[in-house]
Amino acid sequence: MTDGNPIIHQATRLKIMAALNRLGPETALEFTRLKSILETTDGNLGTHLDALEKAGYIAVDKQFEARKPRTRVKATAAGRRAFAEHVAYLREIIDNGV
Amino acid sequence: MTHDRDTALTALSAIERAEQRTTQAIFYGIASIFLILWGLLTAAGYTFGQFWPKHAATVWPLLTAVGFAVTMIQTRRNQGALTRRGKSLGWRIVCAQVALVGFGVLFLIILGPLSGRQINAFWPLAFSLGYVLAGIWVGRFFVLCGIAIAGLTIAGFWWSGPWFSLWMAVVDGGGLILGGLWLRGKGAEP
Repeated sequence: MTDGNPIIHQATRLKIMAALNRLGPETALEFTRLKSILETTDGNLGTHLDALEKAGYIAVDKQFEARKPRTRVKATAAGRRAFAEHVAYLREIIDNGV
Repeated sequence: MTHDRDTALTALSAIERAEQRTTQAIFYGIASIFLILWGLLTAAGYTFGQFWPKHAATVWPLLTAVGFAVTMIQTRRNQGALTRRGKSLGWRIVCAQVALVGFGVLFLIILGPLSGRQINAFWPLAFSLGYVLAGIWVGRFFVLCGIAIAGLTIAGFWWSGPWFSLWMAVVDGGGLILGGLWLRGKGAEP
C-alpha cells in the first residue's frame, strides 16, 4: 500500500482538491464561491490555497475586474493526479479493513 | 503517513460532500442563465399578448425558437467547463425542456382547443411541474419556485380579469428573472 499524500490529506486541502477536481480541466472557481462551497473563512482558505499552489497542485489567477480583485483557482494536472492517488489510497485502506 | 479505516471513511465522506456542493453550485450557475433568459422571453411574450393579442399566436413560437436557440448555444459553450461526471448536465436541462414542451403540445392537441387564457395558464403550470420535479433532485429552491409560480398563475387565472397576460408577464416572467438572479448569487459561473 502506498502512503497517503500529506499535503492533500489535511481536511480543508482535501475538500479544496475535491471541489476543483470535480470541474472540467479548463474551469476555475472563484475564491468567494470556493469559500462558500467549503464553508470556511477567507484566512483559512487563503492559507491552504498557498500550500497547494506551492506544491503545484493548483493554479491561482489573480486579476482586477472593474477595480475589484478577482481570484480564480483551478486544479493542475499534477494536482488531479495526486488527488486521484490519494483517493485510491483511502479506498485501499477501507477495502483492506486496516 | 498511515491512516486508519475511520479516518479514511471520514475523508471520503468529506470529499463526497465537497463534490456534491460543487456540482450544485455549477448547476445553479447554469440554471440561473436559463431562468433569466426564459424569464425575459416569457415577460416579452405575455406583454405582447396583453396589448396585441391577435399577434400572440405568431410571437410565442418565435420567442420559443429564440429561447431554444440561445439555450443550445449557451449549453454548447458550457459543455467543456462542466464537472467531469456531469458533462451532460446542460444537455439534460435542454432535454427536460424539450420533453416538457413536447408533452404540452401533445396535451393541447388531444385536449384542445383551449381558450387563449387557458393556454396562457397551461404553459407556466407545465413548467412549474418541471421545476418541482427538478427541485426534488437538485434543491428545494426549484420546488418553492415551481409552487410559487403555479399558485400565482392559478390566482391570476381566476382573479386578474382582463389583465391576465400582464399578470403573467410580471409573476411568471418576473419570477423567473428574480429566481435566476438569486441562483446566480448562489451558483458558480461555469
